[in-house]
Amino acid sequence: MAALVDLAVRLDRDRSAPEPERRQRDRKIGQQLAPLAARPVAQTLAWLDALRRESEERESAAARWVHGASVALVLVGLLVGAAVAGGVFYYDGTRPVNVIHVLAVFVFLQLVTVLLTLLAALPARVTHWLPGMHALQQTLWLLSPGRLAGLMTRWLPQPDREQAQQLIGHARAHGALYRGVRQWAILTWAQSFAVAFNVAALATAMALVTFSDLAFGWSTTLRVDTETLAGIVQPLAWPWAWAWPAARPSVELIEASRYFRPVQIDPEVAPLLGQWWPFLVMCMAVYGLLPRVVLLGVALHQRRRAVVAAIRYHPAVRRLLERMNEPIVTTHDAGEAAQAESMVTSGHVATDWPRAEGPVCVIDWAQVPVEGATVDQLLQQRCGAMPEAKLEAGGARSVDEDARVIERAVGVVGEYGLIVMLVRAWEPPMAEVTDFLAQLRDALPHGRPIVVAPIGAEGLAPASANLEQWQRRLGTLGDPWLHVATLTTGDDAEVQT
Amino acid sequence: MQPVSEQPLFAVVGHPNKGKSSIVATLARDDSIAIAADPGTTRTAQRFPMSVDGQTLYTLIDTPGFQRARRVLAWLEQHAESDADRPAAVERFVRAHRNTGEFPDEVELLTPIIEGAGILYVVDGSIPYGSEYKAEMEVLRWTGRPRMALINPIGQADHIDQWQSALDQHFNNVRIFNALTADFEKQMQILEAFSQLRESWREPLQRAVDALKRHRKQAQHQSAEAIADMLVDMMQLQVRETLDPDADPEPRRKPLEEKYKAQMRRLEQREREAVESAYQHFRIQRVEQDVELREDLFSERSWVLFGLSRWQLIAAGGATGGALGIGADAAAGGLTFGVFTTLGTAAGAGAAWWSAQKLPQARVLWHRVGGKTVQCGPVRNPNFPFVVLNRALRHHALVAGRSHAQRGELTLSETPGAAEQQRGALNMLSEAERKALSPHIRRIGRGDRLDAAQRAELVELLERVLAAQESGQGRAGDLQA
Repeated sequence: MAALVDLAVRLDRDRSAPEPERRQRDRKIGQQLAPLAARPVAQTLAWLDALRRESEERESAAARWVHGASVALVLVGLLVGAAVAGGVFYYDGTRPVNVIHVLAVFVFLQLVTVLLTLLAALPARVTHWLPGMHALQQTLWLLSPGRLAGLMTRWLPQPDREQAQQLIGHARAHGALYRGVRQWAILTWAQSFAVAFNVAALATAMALVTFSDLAFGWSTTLRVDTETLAGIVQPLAWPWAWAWPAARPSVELIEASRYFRPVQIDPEVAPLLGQWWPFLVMCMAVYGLLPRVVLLGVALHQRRRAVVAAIRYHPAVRRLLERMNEPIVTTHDAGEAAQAESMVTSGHVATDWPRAEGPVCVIDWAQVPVEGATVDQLLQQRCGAMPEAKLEAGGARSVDEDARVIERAVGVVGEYGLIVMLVRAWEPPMAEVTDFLAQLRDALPHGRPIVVAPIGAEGLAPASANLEQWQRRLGTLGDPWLHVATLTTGDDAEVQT
Repeated sequence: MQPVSEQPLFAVVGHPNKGKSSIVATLARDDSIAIAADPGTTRTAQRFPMSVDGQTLYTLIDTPGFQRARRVLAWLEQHAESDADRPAAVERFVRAHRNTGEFPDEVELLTPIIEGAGILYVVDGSIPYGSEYKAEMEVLRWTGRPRMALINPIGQADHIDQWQSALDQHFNNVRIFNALTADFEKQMQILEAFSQLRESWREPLQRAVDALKRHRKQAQHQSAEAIADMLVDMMQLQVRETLDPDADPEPRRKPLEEKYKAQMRRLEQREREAVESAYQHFRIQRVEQDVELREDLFSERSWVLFGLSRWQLIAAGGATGGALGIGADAAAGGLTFGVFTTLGTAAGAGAAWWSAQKLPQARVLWHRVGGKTVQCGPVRNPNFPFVVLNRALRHHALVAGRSHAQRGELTLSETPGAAEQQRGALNMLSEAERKALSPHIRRIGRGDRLDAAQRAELVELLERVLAAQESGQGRAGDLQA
């Protein structure tokens, strides 16, 4: 169980560590522990060991507290047991030790508390059917001495106390997971206490029997005669009567050891009175100590099972196992942010159609099968003149051929004309186009307008997004006589300055 | 020229448009790659290595597009001595222009190729083929590297056939791959296709595909866990406040309900984020309405002592009295015929009932012993977990099917009708799976806690649902195509 506490502390501390770091570290450990992958609990504990070795830590303070609590409870149990036995077996010579007292404290009371323990430990499935059982169980849990262990956190030094209390709070929050562990832990502590109690009581009784002369008798206000008492006492002695006959009080002994207030011990009977002790000691052993030892064994076993289950199903452990056993798959370097240098978007380009004051030359960079007549008509509308010449450039032509086209275009345009360049709107404006435009500008006389008209794929009108893209890109050329406008005259194709 | 890289290395080249970066974003599962509308967004070559446990299995390289292909070709034709010299000519071109600034994009994209990368040539299948593409295809052929063409139909129009016949003349291997809509299965197929570029690349690519498939199963598992946790948490959610025994609960109703709704919302958000990051979507902008809570969840309860209600106290008192009575009967050797037990139970219960009357008024250290609790929730509508589950399944389907190249908002709209919602996502399950899932959901709906084994079963069932969603999507996708 200390391992569980340690694990919880470690996982809690881990939560603050950054995720990639944890992943790397745990995957490394996981690769080393690969053979244990089929046994999650063993792998988890091995992980804990690996971390401890790495940081050279011993058990956490909380685990030490768990051990300390058990030890403290045992010590307290021993003390209380010795004290009670001393009290019950007290003989100062005036009155014999009352067997009824011994039986009441060390047999019946023990049996009742064992019964209550069993009631408290009944699983929920059973208590569901009995009304009031649940409330009773809750009350019993409140009373269990095992809960003292929780109270002991008050005496721990400061940082350990915080850690311990954090753990208790954490366990309460994860109720379902830790319920089993908590119950069996409390039970284990309670039984440790009870076993210590009984051991001390037994030892004290034996010591008193050995080292002092005790006389036993029995006395009660109730009207009980010898046969009745024999009827109670002798069946009690049944478990050991076959092995140790002297531990079974005979009817004569019972008869002889009755006493009444005021006490008068018949001198003949006096030596017999000590003969109660085997019976009493065996009672204490069998009805007091033995059930407790059995219960302790059961509780320890169940606690271990609960701890294993808690480890196995703890959500943080699940994630730990995933971190350890799943290979780290990365499909890109997380650190690098993709570089996106956006094109300089400032820059202005005219978006209207200039009026043609001279010959118009069309340069077809688009190779969109356009009706020549359509283009002529549209140009007439847009710039007021029909094209003088239509040249083709770009595409699969060579750069030299483009240069020749530029020469011819310049020749056509002369001093007063303008150039219309048809481009594909859906293709992005590339350096080839801007290179061409730059060369064209160099070759043209000063101030000649160039209109770049993007053509759409369907019906000549370009998509507005594409048109804007061309305007933005060509705006960066800083050419004051460059226009980017659409040839068509649809409403949405009209571009206002 | 360096030999072809031992490790799979792919340079994604083509015209400057968004097609290349979309493909890289999808295959590298990176939703941070800038995919802008303007061309020339990528100016430098970016590497995207895919590694498992630190070992790189393949690398994708996003490159800027060709800007001056014809000039490059012209230079190459001038400087190559023979056909066999062509790859060397390309290398000389790169070296000659490395720092001149004359051909920045071409140098960027050719450098990884001359260093050993294979070529993935990407074109947009939704725009018409043009003769200007010939130059860049020719330049790529000159490098002599293994190469493959991908037609990525970005827009609505379909010119794929045109492209197919144009590309077939320059490439042995031409495939259609829509980066925005390709589901996981198709992405794995395209990766496996890449292995055809070179024999020695087959094995590492196969290992990569296996690792990615396993990673995907892990994502399904993590999503299932997140959904299971959310269902349980949402059905058990309640917010409480303690008031004095005679305080009026009504003014606390509204603020308590708001608090409840806010926590519900947070639980759902947490699950949404967990699913999204499981599939490596870190930048999704989600648009979703809160889940509708139709019932009145406000209630109040009075209690008497230690949080025990009156009846609980009486039961405890009765049981204790009874136990003592049993003891007395036993001591009397059975002569009393259980009278003490009866009396004890009655006395205990009576004492508890009396004190239950008195205790609320009692004070211990100036605090009232009894009190009143007002609480909101938990939901007890048996339909509610189905509603929540359907929402979660719908979100998962959208996230799992979303390629990392998509940049739009993720909108989850409510479909009308609760009954429809209940049938909705669960329709995809087989009869047997639905039967197996229902009892778990109903158990959650009752507010019962799940023990560890039940939870593990639920997670497994949800995983199967999520996996079925995926293959169902694939089938639907095929029907569309």
